[in-house]
Amino acid sequence: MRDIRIAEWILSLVTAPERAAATAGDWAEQSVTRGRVWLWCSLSRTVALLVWRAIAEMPAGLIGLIFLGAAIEVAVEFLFAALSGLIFIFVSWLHLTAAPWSIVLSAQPLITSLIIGRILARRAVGRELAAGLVYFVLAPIVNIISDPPEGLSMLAVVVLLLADAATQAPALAGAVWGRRRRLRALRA
Amino acid sequence: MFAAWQVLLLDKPSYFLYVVVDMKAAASLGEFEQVVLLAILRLGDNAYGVTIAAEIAACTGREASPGALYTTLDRLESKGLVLSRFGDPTPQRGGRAKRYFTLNSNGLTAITRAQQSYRRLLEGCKLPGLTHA
Repeated sequence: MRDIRIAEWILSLVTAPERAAATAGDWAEQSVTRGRVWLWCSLSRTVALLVWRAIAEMPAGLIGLIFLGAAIEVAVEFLFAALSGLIFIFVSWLHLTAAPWSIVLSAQPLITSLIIGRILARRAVGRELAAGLVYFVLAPIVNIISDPPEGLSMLAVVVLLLADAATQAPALAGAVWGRRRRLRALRA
Repeated sequence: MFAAWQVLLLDKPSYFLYVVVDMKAAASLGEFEQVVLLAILRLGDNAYGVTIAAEIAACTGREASPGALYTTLDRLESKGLVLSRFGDPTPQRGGRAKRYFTLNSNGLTAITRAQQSYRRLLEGCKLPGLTHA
């Protein structure tokens, strides 16, 4: 039953809660004879198909959201660069290499991604996870295209893409956060 | 189907227009969508995810993947071909309700047209083991 509850929770991220509950109920009936592997395979296929459908129904809108996310990312980076400059000039005791500021600078891309995921979820009603996923996949590619690395091997570019994707992963968490918040608001 | 003024303006070609509209309606149903609609039709009042999958397996020998089945059911509902309603929660489902599906008149028309076009295609064909071909 715990598996079914988790499956229902994951399904509710991509479809209406009552539909997720009915589908999870069907799986609860069938998983008694078919087992856990079947349940998780069914869940992953269903989620993949529902996310794909959400993307296919509104591709231009989602691409627009990706550009919005990229614009927010650029704006936040400029803001931090300006802030770093001001701190360098006016706060003599807090050097840019000091530990507190290093932590802030390291956390900034992750927090920015989280907030971008949350903003995209707010704008992509009913497609929150699809928006987060598209941003997670496409943002690193957009970043590489807009600022192409020179003199790097293909392998190094792939590693760079994966590293950038890792920093965009909080966007997925932001999308889930936005989706759960919307569901709570609907229930209230 | 199409406006009356179109028939008046296109008196003779209206048959052609009718056929085009007819074919378009039938072509909008995929093969698996037809299978699902027929399974719902066969099951009557007891058509929900589990029974639909079982009916498809029993009649076609084909195991419908849950992902394909549920997304197809959602798509058919958004196309306005089926209606869904929630039943009462049951303990063997962990207190979750069943989602029952029924064909509405649009669904019935669409599946009838799709099957008619198959039948027209079959006319005159000799298929091994199919006596009515």
